[in-house]
Formats: sequence, C-alpha cells, structure tokens
Amino acid sequence: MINQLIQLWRRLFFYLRRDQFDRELEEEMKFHLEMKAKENAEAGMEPLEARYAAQRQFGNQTLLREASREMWSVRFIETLMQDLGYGARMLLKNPGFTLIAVLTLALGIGANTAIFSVVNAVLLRPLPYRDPDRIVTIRNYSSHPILDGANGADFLDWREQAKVFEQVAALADGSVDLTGSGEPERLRAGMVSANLFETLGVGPAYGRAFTQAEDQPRAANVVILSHRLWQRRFGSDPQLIGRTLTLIDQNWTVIGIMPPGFQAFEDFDLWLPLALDVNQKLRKGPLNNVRVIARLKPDVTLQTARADLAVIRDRQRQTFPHFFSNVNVEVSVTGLHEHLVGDVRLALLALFGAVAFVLLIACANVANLLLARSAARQKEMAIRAAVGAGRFRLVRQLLTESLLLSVAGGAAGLLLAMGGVKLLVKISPGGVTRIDESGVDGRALVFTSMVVALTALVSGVIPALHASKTNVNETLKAHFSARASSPGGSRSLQALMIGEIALTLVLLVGAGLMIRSFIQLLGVPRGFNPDNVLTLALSPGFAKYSPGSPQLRAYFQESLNRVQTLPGVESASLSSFLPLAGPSRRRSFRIEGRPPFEPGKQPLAQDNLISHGYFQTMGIKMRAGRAFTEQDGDGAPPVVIINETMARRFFPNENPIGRRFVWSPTPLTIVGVVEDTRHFGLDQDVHPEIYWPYLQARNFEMKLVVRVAPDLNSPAQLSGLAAAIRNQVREVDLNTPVNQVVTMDERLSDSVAPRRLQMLLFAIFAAVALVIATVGMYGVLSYAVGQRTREIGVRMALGAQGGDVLRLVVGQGMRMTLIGALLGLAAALALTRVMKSLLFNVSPTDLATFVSITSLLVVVAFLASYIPARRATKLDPLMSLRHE
Amino acid sequence: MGKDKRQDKAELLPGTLEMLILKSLDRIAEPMHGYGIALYLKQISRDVLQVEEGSLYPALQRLALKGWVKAEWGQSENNRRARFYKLTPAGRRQLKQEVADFERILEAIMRVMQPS
Repeated sequence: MINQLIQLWRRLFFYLRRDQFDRELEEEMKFHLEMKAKENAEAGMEPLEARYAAQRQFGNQTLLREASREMWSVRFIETLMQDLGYGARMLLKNPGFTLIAVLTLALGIGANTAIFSVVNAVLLRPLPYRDPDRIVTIRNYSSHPILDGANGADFLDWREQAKVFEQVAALADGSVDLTGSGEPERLRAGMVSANLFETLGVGPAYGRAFTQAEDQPRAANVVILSHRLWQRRFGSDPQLIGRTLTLIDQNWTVIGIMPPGFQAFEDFDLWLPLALDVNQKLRKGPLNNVRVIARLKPDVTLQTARADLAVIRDRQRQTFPHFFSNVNVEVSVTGLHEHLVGDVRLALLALFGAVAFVLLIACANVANLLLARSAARQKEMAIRAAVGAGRFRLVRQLLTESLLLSVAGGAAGLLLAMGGVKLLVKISPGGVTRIDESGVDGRALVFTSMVVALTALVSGVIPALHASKTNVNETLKAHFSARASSPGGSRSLQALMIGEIALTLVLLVGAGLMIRSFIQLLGVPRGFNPDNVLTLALSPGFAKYSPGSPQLRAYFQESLNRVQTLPGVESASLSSFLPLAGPSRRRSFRIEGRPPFEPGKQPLAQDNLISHGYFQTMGIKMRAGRAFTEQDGDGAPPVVIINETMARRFFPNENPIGRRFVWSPTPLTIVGVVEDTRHFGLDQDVHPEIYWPYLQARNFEMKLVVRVAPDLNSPAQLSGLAAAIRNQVREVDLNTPVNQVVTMDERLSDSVAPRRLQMLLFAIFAAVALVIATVGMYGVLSYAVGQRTREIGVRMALGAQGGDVLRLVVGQGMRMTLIGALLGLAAALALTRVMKSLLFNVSPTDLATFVSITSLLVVVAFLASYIPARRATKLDPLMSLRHE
Repeated sequence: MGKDKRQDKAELLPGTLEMLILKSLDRIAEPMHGYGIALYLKQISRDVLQVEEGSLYPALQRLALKGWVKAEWGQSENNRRARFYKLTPAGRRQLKQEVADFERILEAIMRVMQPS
C-alpha cells in the first residue's frame, strides 16, 4: 500500500515534469547511439554505416520512447486532463448556457456556504473551554416566578450537596462605574464565585484568579479585567497588575487579565468576586438571580446529575414546606453549549434547510439545462461512441463537464459567501452567541468542496446517463431524417421540472408564513406610540446616589427639569421600565377585602415607577379613571394605576377604580386603568402591571422619556437634540457616566430584529428559488417548442390556429406546474410544522398563505410558459416543415 | 557484425532483463549509464544474450519507478553528459529475491530436463 502511494507520488511528480523527462530520455538515447556508432566506427565501419547499425541494434526509437513514458504514465490524470480540456472548450463554446448554469450554482452553493459558516460558528464549534462537553448549567423551572431560575441559596445547596460535580460555580450580572482617571464609564461586571474560571478551565492570561478567601464578605477589593478593557482603557499596560482602580467610588486592586476573547455567558468588561457585601454595593441585587455553571465529574451523565439534584430539591421541599407547597419545581441540567444556542438552533437549522432546498433547485435546473443540451449533442455523442468511446467514457466526459460547472459555481459561490457572511454578522441582532466569529474558514471550505462534488454528481448524473445511452445507429440515421426527440430525455426533463416546482413551493410557503408572521407582529396593538420619542437611561452610581435617597430623587428631578426646557421638546417624563425593554422588578400584592392568595399561588405584578406626564409622553391611553398629577407626590395619599390585563384578571366583573391594595403603612388606592403596553416584546404576553408615582416609591434607576415636537423630524435635528439632552444631563453631575440616547423607533426595530432577519433571509432564498425555477420552466418549454417545431408545423398546416398552439405549449407548462404544486403542497404541509415556534399568530398550515403562494407560483409559471408558447405560434408552417 | 552467428544467440526469457540490469549494477557497484550496461551485458554473456539495446530504457524507467534504481546525471568517461543509474537498497533486496526465484525455477526446469 505504502509502496503504491510512493509510486503514485512519483508518477504525479513525473507528470508535472514530463517535458523534462522527454528531453532527458531523448538525450540519453542519443548518447547511447553515438557511443555505439563510435564503437562501430572503431571496428572499421563507414561513419554512415556505423550510425545505421547502431540504430538497428537499438530498435524502434519512437516505440521505445513511448514504452518508457508509458511506465510512468498516470492514466486517469491524463484522461481527466483530456476530459477537462474538452469540457472547458465545450462550455466556452456556449457562454450563455455556461453563465446561467454557473450563476445558478453560485447562488445555491454561496448561500449554503454562508449559512454553514454561521451554523459552524454558532452550533458546531465546541466552546473554548477545557472539556466543554462536561460543562453544564443548572437552574429551576417553576410556574412560580420567585422559584424560577436560580438564586444564591440554590447555588450554595447545589455546591455543598451535589455529588456529581467536580465544581459548581455561580455568576451574576451587574454594572459598575469606573471613575478616577479619564472619562467616567459604566462597565459590565460579572460577579463570579472564585472557582468560576477553574470550572471553565480557563485561567487569566496575566496575573492570577480569585482565591477562596477573596470570595468572602468584607474581603479585600480585587478585580480581574477582560483583555479588551485592558487594551482599550489601559493601553495594554503590562504594569497594571497590582495597581488600583476606582470602581463604585472605592479602590479595587487589579489581580489578573483574562486572555483575549474569553467570555462567560455575556461579554463582561471585568469580573469581581461574588461576595455578599460586594453585591449590595452594586447596582442590582444579583443574589436572587445567579447563573450556575458546573463541571460534571468524568463519566457522569446528564440523567445521573438530574437525579442527584432532584434529591436535593426534595430535601429543600422538606425543609421549607410552606415555601414549596403547591408549587411545581423542576431542576434542569443542560449542557452549556445547548443552553447558549437553544433558541437559535431551530432558526438556523430552518435556514439551513431553506438553502439546501435552493441548492437542490439549482441542481435540478442545471441538470435540466444539461439534459436539454445533451439532446442537442446527441450526434456528437453518437460519433464519439461510433469511433470507440465506451459508455463509461462518455458518462465520465459529461460528469467532468458538470464538475467544471460546479467548481466554477463553487468558486463564485465562495466569493458570494464571504460577502454574505460579513453582511449576516453585521445585520444579525444581538444575542446570537458567537455569531461574530463566523467566517469562511477551513471547515467551510471543506464543506463547500463536498457540496461542489455533490452538486456535480446530482446535477450531472441524470443527463450523463441519458446522453450516454445513445443508440449510435438510430441517432446518426435520425439526424439525417426527422429530428430525434428522445422520449426518455424529455420525461426526465419534465420530472426534474416538477421536482423543482415542488421544492420552490415549499420554500415559498415557508417564506410566506414568515412574512405573514411578521405582518401579524407589526400589527399587534403596542399600547404606546413610538414616533418622535427619545429615551435615555439615567443610572447614577449607587455609591453617591443610594436607592430612594433624596440625592437620587434630586438628580432625576434636575435632569427632567433641564431637558423639559430644551427647545423642540414637547414633553418629558420619567419611567423605570420602558416598553419592549424586558422584565422589571416584580411585586406580590394583596387586594383589600379579599382573603390572601394561597402560598405558592401568589401572583406577581410588574412594577413601574413613573413621573406624572408619562402616559402622555409615551402615548399610552387611559382606559378609566385618571392619570397621576403633580399632587400625587411625597406625603400625598398613595395611589396606583393598573393595566387592563390586571383589571381583567383581578377585577373581572367590577370597577377597579377606588379598590385598594393592602400595603403598609397605608393602603394603595387604584385611581386609573391604562391600556396594555407591550413591555416584553411584541410577541410576548402582557403581564399584570402596577404603575406608581415615582415620588411615592423607593426609586433606583429611571429612564428619561422625551416626546419631540412633530415638526422636528429630520435625523440631523433629532441627533442634535439627542446631543443637547446628553449635555444637559451630564451637567447635572460631571462625575456620572451618561448613556446613549435611543429613539423608541430604534427600540421597536431592535425588538423585532431577529424575526425580521429570519423573514428576510427566508424571503430572499425563496425569491432566488422562484427566479431559478422560472428560468428553468422557460428553458424547458423553449426546448420543448424547439423539439416539436415539426409537429407544430404539421398541426398548423392542417389548420390549427395560434390559440391551439398556445394551448398546447402553455398546457404542457401548466400540467408540470400543477403536478409540482400538488407535490409541493403535500411536502409543505408536512414540513412547515417544524417551523411552528418560528411563527407568530399564524398557523403552520395557514390557508390564506397556502392559497396565495400557490396562486403566485401558478401565475409566474404561466408567464414563464407563455413566452415560449407565443414564439411557437409565430412559426411559419412552411418554414418549420423545411426546418429539417 | 556477426549476423551469421545468430543461431548461437538466445532471446531473453521475459522479465529477466530487469533482473540482469539489477545484477549488472550490483556487480559493478558503481553508477552506470545505459550504454555501459548494454556493453557489460554483452561482454559478460559473451555475446550470447541478445538484447535489443533500446529496450534497456523502458526497463530502466520501470526500475526507477519501483524505486529499485536511482538515476543521476553525470560526466561520462569521454566527458559527455550521461544519465547514470545506481542500485538502491530496495533494489538490492529485490535482486536477491529475484535471483532466488530464478534459481528455484531454473533448478526445477533442470530437473525436468535431466534424463532420469
């Protein structure tokens, strides 16, 4: 085996230098002959005679040279080269055909490579940790909001009691203000248990990780920086370790720098120990919401781990019966990778399926083009067969040609994919783990090569088998009499076309469902008016402005006052919780005059603190009662406003106005009801919500909401106003970082971005498929008309009218379309079910979509068959009879 | 040349030419060009073995492909450029093998031919 490989290698090497070999052999033989002639001459021959004698003794030089070369020859390469050369010439002779085929394949292959690159980055590549397969996340699932997720107590229980893990670590999100030198800046902080880095198996690039002692309340302040922050803010200063930074107005010692690209869940700027006291200094109390990461012991399965944790949960249940009664709590253990890509997987796989369809359609189309062309090449094939080419040789020739096509298509597709991936990454909404690492890399190249080979085979094998089946005698004879139309060939042509139409319909239906979902999504009543609204998060550091303090309240009030007086501002107000921004603080409540809720069935309401003009500024409509006024301030009787969902759920058949929530020390009176506002996203349910006057509550972080005068709507004017707003707020306290101004329209657009992207990609792929199939239909029918020229001529000579001919050709097209559409509908019914979770308010078998998409396809197919049919009616019967 | 002595000359058994080339290279133990090999074969066999001299060259190519000989360009005795062949270790092993096979066959043939 090895010897054969070495020999093959020698042959290949030889093949590259075959010219040199010929020269050397020539020289060697000449040398031999001259030596011999000299010897003969020395033996007394005449010079001429001596040379002839030498040649006689040597033998036939040409044959010997051939034989020598033959020793080295690599037959298959030489034939391949011949086939390639011949194929390339054939393709260049038909530039139109070649261009269409290559473009079609480039679209198909390019789309596949692009989506594969993303799938590879997001789904296939292992996470960059040590033994990433053994890293899991643990959390509770519960219908009860308080028990859902994981809290500090769960983490400690799991860490102390579980037997299946090597390490159990926790991480909480937070943010800290970096002040001192340079511009004050808000940074994303990961608060981690000391063993988090060890659990992941990644240590700091410089310095050291946290020690157990540092992960304790009242331990020294130590911080580890991300590589990016170190580079950006500190210029990669190698002396930074051991220095102190001012975070949250305290000194923190830098003890380590993580390696570049290190991420744990989020892209944090820095990491602090998750110690109790630290948490209280931070912006949000993370202890009731931590993420738990654990490393399984070797050979422990997920099932075993789940069983072990279930035992711990039962123990918790026994220890705190009142807390857990009536409540269903499931502990889940999920592989970290699975957890991170969970939601994205289906969307990506659906896209991958869509591009695979596009490629199949492209292949079918190229197969059709090749089939049609092979009919035209029957004579050529017959002649080649007649002079001794075997069937295998003919098939190989044709496959070589389709390989050339798909390699060219693959090369062009790679270029498309490189651009496509960059574009995809740029327009992809946030939250898709590691999508920014997508690129056309080695793995994508291997994938593309395989796709190219497969494409060549799929698109080439049917035409090749057909063409090679040529009956030499018949074809050559036929060519001189009537034109041969191979019935088998046109049957394959029609079958392929029907398949193409079926696939296209499936894709179109998929895209149609996505588009309808998106329209439904945009049509959802939003419960606010996003036009001309600017927002700015006000979040001064807690060290100076503790929650609920008069300083904090003054900061908010001062910011509001300054902004309200800016020209172009119609109204400004404050709110703790913006529409589409996701969950806020939740509160349990009790309604006066009713028994308390059963333990475990305690409902929660979203909590929203607002200043008095907020509903007007945000365009939220009152449904009943009154809005807050300036009189609802500190010390006034406490009042609240609820949303419609809350009114419906808790006051179904009564007027909630005037009802009261039990609250200490004074009950809260409901004074109004407002419309439901989508706080969690357009595709999410509305929760019960309670609005409070922010001056009557313990506020901590507020958003400034500004409604701009309607005449101020050019982007330049808006960004000018946004800058003015930031400047005003910055002047309230120069040591507090100020966030970016975001318009509500941007928030709305961002919130639907993932669905919009999915819909767009689906629509693009479906449109590409439709174009390819239309071109295919046109091509097949034009070919059929060409084949039937004589028949049509005869019919017309016998009195058929233009309309009859039109019907004949269009009828053929429509027959294929209808069969294809029926097959496609059946396939779509079966396939769209998997898309269910990608859809919104649309059933996967939505009748309107199925009907309208099918009609669209039929109309397009009709147009594609009408043009060749029209041409057929223009045939002159006499000309077409003479045509042969 | 001695065309009249044709009867005294033997055609080579098929496949033996390569063995003879290997053997010649082994005996001489230094690189030889094609002409030299032809000359040597003729002398050693006392003109009995009739080789069409040119057929040496395809055979040499085959040996080179198998890796049993190695070719290098060098200076001939009369200062001309010539391609010299030398035996490789693999070629030496191959020769041993072929000689053994050949002797076995020869022995068998002799036994058949010997009058009992």
